[in-house]
Amino acid sequence: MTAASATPGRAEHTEVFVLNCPPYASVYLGAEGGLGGKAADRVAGFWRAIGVPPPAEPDHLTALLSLYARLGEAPVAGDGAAGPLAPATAGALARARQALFWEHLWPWLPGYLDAVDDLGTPALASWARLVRRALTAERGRHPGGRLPLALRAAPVPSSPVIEPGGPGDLLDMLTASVRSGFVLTRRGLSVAADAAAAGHRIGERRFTLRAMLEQAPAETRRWLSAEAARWSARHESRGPAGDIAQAWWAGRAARTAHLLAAGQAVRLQMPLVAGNYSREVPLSDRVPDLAALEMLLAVAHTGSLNVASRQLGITQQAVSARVRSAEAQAGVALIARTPRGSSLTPEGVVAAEWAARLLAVAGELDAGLAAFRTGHQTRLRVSASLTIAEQLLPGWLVSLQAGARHRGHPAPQIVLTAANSDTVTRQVREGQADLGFVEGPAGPKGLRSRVIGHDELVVIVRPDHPWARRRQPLEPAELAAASIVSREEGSAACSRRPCPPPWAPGSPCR
Amino acid sequence: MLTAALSAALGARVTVPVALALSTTAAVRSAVLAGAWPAVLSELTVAEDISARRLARVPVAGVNLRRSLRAIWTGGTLPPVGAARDLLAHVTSGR
Repeated sequence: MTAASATPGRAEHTEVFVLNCPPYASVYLGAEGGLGGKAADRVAGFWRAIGVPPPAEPDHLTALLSLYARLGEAPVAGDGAAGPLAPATAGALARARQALFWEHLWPWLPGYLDAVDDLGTPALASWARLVRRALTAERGRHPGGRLPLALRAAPVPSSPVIEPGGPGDLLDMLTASVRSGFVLTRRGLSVAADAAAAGHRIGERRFTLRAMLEQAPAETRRWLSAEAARWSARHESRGPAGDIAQAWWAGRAARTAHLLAAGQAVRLQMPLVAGNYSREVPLSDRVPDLAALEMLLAVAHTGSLNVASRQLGITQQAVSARVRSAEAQAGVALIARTPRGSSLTPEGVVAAEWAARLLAVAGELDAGLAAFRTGHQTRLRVSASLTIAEQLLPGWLVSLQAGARHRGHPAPQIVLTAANSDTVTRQVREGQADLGFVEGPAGPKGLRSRVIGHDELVVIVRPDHPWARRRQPLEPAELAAASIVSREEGSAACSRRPCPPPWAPGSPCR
Repeated sequence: MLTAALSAALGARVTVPVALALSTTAAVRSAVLAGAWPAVLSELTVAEDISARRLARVPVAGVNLRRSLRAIWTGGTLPPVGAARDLLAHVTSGR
């Protein structure tokens, strides 16, 4: 290790490598956030696997970099220093070098160097930049591969609730980079403590952090969340594009930022951030589909199958059947059905929370794809039943256009078709209309619907008709026995083909 | 709709004798104004005629002739972003 500009003094060296950024892989890749542990064992295992006895500190940056350099040298027979590496073939050496880089350097070193850089010690900051350049160049020589083991093995918090008074889990998470997604140094903490006006206690990060969370919980969380977000962006921007390891770090830091911003009692949930989706194993066939999860969520929100079904515009039986089949697929009971009603099982409550996050992301995907579509779709095709087309839509369309103009938006171009309700339903189902308006006691099967108003059929007569002078309401039997004039629902003019709106010249529905 | 509501009210399947079936609301309205028959139409269509006393509304006992007006679409819980969603939001907010 050589400094580019100046030689670091002893104090600087201690500040950086002892107090803030110890240069050991296990500190950044271990679940404990400290020296040693399984993370160090994994590195030692790598040394043994290539036939070299591990040194006293197998995961020290210097040991790893010199091993990396040594593996890059061509095997020389009789080279004493190379020792057991000498008989290895060039191919085996290249594979070992690739594994060392990908598994034991690349997963932690870029973030580590950023953390050193942050300390602002001139000599060591330039050292960090130098190493980063070399590392980036080396990354270009290796093809990458599956997510490094240390990251795959990183603990995923189950779902403990972090209580404001007992932040044990939170401290575990924040002091281990591989859990939080970012490097939290003592220096960083003391800056944060000053900013939050919390007394800074010198010592282990854990103690400092606990004191800060007790004295100024909201400010501390805000700072931590911003810090995690800053790191997430930093991991994200690190090349090369699509690098699975750096994307993993970005996802993990983003999740931490989100958790800390979410409030006082934070639920740790399964990571669902896109950057975290880096699994090689495809999803099992036991994941319920989005529509079923949406129904589960509606039941969770409304507390009732009945209300949920009304909200979704489908029958209660359909919701019940859909949730039941999701339960069968997942192999987990999600809804407890009792004679008095339905409620979520404890598993259902947790599943609904996960589903909410998944659906939020799915909603973004939906909206994003729709935004692509709207670029090409400036015309809205509306199909409406005669009554609605005649009586309501003209007013709606006029005020919609006026509202769009008022807000300075381009007014949507609307093409309206008037037909009977069955035809409207068919046109929407077959994609000939983007939006339909129908009347009837229930929404058509298999379509989304929302009640937009109510209407009533009334019996009318000419004012000189005997019924107009009645004192008593008409009995149903009397009405059933009378001959009436009716509008034929399936009228020929309007059912075989879409017809122009009734107010259009030449319309058969005029 | 009418047949179903009457059948429900009477507890037996009934067929309403239709003297004249016309394809448009306007034609039905004209037929009522011109002649002797009663008609069953949407309240929305005849509200103006009733308030102007060109037509009289006859109350019917025990028959539910209310119906919902619905927007329908395919796909997600909301219509696609853009004009379709705007129109639905406009219609539901302006109610």
